[in-house]
Amino acid sequence: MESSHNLISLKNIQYQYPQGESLSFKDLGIDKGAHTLLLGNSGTGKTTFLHILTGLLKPSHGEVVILGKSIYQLNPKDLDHFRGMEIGIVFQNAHLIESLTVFENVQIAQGFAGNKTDYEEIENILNRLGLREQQNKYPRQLSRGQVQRVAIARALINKPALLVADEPTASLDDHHTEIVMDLLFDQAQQSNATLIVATHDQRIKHRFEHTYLLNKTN
Amino acid sequence: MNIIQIAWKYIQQNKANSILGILLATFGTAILCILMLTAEQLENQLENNSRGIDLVVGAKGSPTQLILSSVFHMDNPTGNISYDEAIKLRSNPFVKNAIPLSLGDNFKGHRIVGTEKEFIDLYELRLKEGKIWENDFEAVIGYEVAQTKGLKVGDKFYGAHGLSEDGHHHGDHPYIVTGILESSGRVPDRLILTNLESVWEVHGLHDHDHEHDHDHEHDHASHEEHSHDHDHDHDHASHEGHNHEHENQEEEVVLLDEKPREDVFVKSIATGFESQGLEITAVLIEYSNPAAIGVLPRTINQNTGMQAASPALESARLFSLLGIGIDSLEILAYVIMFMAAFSVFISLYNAFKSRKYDLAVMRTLGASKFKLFTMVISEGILITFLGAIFGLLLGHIAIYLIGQNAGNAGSLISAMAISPNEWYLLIVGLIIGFVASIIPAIKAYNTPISQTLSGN
Repeated sequence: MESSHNLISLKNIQYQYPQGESLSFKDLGIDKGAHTLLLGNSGTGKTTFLHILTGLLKPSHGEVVILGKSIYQLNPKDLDHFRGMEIGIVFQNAHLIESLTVFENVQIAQGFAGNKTDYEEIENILNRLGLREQQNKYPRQLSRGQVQRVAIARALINKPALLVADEPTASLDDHHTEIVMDLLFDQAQQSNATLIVATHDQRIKHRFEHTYLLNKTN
Repeated sequence: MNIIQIAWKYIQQNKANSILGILLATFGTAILCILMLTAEQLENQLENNSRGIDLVVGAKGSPTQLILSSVFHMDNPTGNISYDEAIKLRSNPFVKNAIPLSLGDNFKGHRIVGTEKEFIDLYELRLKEGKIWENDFEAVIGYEVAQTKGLKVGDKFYGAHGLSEDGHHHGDHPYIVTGILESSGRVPDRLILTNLESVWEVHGLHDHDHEHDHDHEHDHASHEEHSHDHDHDHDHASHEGHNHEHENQEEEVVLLDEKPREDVFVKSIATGFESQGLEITAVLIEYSNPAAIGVLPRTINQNTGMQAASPALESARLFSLLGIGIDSLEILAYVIMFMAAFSVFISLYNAFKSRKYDLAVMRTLGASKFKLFTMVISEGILITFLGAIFGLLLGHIAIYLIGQNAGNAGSLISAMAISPNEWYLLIVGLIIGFVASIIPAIKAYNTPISQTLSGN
């Protein structure tokens, strides 16, 4: 069964916190294009699982295979590069670099992934997300929605296979939740990326065919 | 957008701290640069200008003053010596070459040096145009004199009394420029060379200049007053009675040339005018063999009314005196450099706290640990390196300004000269930046992504 999942597969994942607490996770397999919801309440290790999945945190046990590569067996530098190229992450509070303009925030994502600056590409994606006017502004000059859109542009600029969003709808009202979810699906579609949304927000459950439920299992 | 550009963005973001770091590095480097250039060029000048001159013989007084006045042409002469006595040195077996100098006048701050043609060879000077003087009141001028005063071959100029620009003008004897020297990078660039006779004649010492007597009459009065201010207590028995109290003032040197005219005249009847009356300021001596070092200076100092001073020894002494000042300034510069490094360190270290998230995010975007390390190092180095560049500029500007205001002595040091050691100052700038940012950079290198992003 697991070998059929051509995008991502997590097997026997366990994570031992430095404080001593240990978490085990159910196996997960995702095919290309199968947008998936990771649903779990706080305290279920959602963030930890997401970090393991995106190559940010090495699990104590188990294997993470993305596009056929066991990512934690790559050397650190290759893992950094792989992450830059194939995984786009939209954080809950965006984490834009405050010293850089909107344009530069997207530009550095190209640079850090090892790509040459492609001005046309950056302008295209900013246009696509309605940020054309904002491209020379600094993050503090933007509205919250704009900041989130810059984060999406940054996550998608390298055309990753995977677009991961962490709590994209937290503290949004229903109306804005719909807008953000439409945006994520739409953008993932346009960039040919598979969307994974980690949330505790039950309101968006109906939008996904695939749901992975995080439970506290010790 | 490369990491240096990103680092530059952070520097701009953190303006106050960055400017502080740049300023401190600038001042530290500037002081070091000034010291280095000054010390280096002074040492060069000292060495360069005393090359070929083993000994200077002049009137008794401070040996340093003698060297400064007759080798570097900076200070006033110690007084006059008898031409005859001085020229006797030529027959000394230890002396290969003895070149007399007679000072006393200047043209717009450039000394008019009465000497002999051997002077040209001693300093290995070459003519750029024209020819060497043949007759009285023909002069060969140094490269710098020609450049700054706009003199050409064939031009006439009047010397002024004394060695500073504001002396009384000798309106009666114009010099005519017969030649201009090539630049030698040594003192003669700033000198005007002529024969001894011209200088003597201007000051009425020569045998056929009686008609000038009254021309100088008014001089005497002013100098007479002047001489009271200076209490010279030389009691060298060997000195001629009349120049006893007027040794150290070059203006009075001239005075004594003129004032005892009657004595000289009287004496000249008895002993021969030329032999007793002619005086010069100093003799530059080249040894015929190294053994002279041990013998000649002592002989002269003990057996004649003159003193002998070694340019090498006096230069070394002068330089060691300057050295104390240079050393203490150097310490100050190092303290400032340390403060620059420390300020960069503090500013990067503090910035790290607020920048942790940025660093973690950059990691998620594909930046390697080493890239973040280099980025923080770049930031530190950019600050101190910029400081070092500004410091070098500031140092040169400062030297230029000092040169503008210091007159003669200042012209020893050129602000345009670039010392190869200045590259070291740039490297010091780099190293300081590196050292200051290494700890913050290591912290950046070790930033745990997951922990930082989840706020733990």
